[in-house]
Amino acid sequence: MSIQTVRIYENRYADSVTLMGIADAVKKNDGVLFAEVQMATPANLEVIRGLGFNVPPEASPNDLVVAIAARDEAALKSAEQDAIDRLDRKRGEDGETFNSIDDVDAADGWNLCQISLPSEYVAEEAKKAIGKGMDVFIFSDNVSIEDELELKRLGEERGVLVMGPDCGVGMLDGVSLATMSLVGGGPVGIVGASGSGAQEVACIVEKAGSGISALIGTGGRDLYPQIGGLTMIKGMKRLDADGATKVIVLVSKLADRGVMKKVLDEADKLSKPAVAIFLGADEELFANRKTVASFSLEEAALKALALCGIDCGGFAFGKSKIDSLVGREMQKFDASQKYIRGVYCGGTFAEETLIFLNKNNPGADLRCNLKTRYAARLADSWKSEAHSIVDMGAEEFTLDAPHPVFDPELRLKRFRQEASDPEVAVILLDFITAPGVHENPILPFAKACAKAISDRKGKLSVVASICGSKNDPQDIVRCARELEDAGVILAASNYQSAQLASAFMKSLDERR
Amino acid sequence: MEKKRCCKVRRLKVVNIGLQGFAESLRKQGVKVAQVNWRPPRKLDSEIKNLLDELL
Repeated sequence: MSIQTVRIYENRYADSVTLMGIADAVKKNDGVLFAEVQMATPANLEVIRGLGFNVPPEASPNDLVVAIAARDEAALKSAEQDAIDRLDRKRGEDGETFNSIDDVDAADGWNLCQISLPSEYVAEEAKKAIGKGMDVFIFSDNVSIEDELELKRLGEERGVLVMGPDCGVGMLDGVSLATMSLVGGGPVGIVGASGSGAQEVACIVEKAGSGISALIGTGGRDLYPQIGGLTMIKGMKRLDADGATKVIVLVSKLADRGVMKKVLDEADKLSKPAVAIFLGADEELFANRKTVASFSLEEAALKALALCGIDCGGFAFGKSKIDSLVGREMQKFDASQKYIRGVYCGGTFAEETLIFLNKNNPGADLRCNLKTRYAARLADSWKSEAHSIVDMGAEEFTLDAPHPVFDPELRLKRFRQEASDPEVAVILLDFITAPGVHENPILPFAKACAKAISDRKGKLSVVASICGSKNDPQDIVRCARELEDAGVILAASNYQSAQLASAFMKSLDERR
Repeated sequence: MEKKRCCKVRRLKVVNIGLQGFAESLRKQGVKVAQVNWRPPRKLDSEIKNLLDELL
């Protein structure tokens, strides 16, 4: 026998992560059988109704719903009070709060507004912040491109930066924003339309012994023709005027050619040297330009450091090192082992690998779950064929599960699937660390790699790279050691991983 | 190694609207942060606003 209550709090909002934490705490009260604290969206209400709760029909998506089932009246009342207390505490805790952005006085020094609201509410709040002269960092995605253009034009008028929408990483004034790695300080300033690409450049700069002055994220659509690179251009000008920045790196996936040219035209006018990487771009794009061309994320980082006068001669892989490593591993494989398999969590890293393999292994049977010009499409994303590169962050994998940077479970399963395929010789893995991602994304893989290599009696090679900072909470130095102890070949960048993959593919294909 | 940072002259002061975890991450880095107790705009408010827009 149990009793239950459903309470609707009208016009009240808290983010889903906070609400899940409150529900979990309420469930721990004595006598509580079930507790759910959610925004009253139709999908959430359907779940709550499905559990037998009688939800009032007038509940709207702007309301907050608390549903609790308990053994008796006393337990129910106590749990309900606990939920209310926690909701009220969350609203007022940890220092200063405002009831609305309208109450913020920029004259008090508030200079950045970070927004991670449901997409339909983003533009209105961002406009108010821009109107107050604040820079804006928008983590939310699915904001319309029309709203993005309007916000960025407003930003131009007010002289402020509009980073995003869909901006995952940033670093200003030495402060890591959203899911940015805690990269140390130095002379390289980065403007990135590809979040993980920009983060990889920053992390390579740190691994090579230097650091960054800032990372300005633009959001993934900034180089679309409709937006025309507004934030990338404004960002590079901001860095040009910044005393701590000596060289500027522009990072993007391949974009509209006209916009890329416009961005490079502006970069050529900067007073400081600039390096650009548009993943997959051709050399002709950079012909007769002052801006230095690069064709991998690693090359962009190392060229930027060279322009700062920092020698990182030992960082890049030489051909002899690749040949000796691959030669050593190839001796382990049986004749039945024919393929490499990439199981990626970073879409940009999967793409960087595909671009390199497509260019350096012409004619190879390369497949991918993404629709891309660089490989044939897998018939079934859940099952690899031939040489395959799989982006586990793609929509088909994240519809029913969290993105692999937030929960590694599904990617671990796929790793085990590939490792148990007798035709597989080499598996490629990437890892991303930062304060905002999974707290332990690497060690479960180190264990799984050790087991897989042991189960295959050593006849399996795993190549991995970590995009992260030594200052990140995941302790990448320890993680790297655990991977190497497990028998994993650890590359210093995704590009080096791709170079090894290419050499493996060539050797495996020639042997057949 | 050089430790200078961008925008030194204007120390970052952040207003956070949305995920409270982001505000906590900034506080851990020693940044001054204020959280907005954001509420979705009432549907009625927008209806009244539209009426006013028509009238004015």
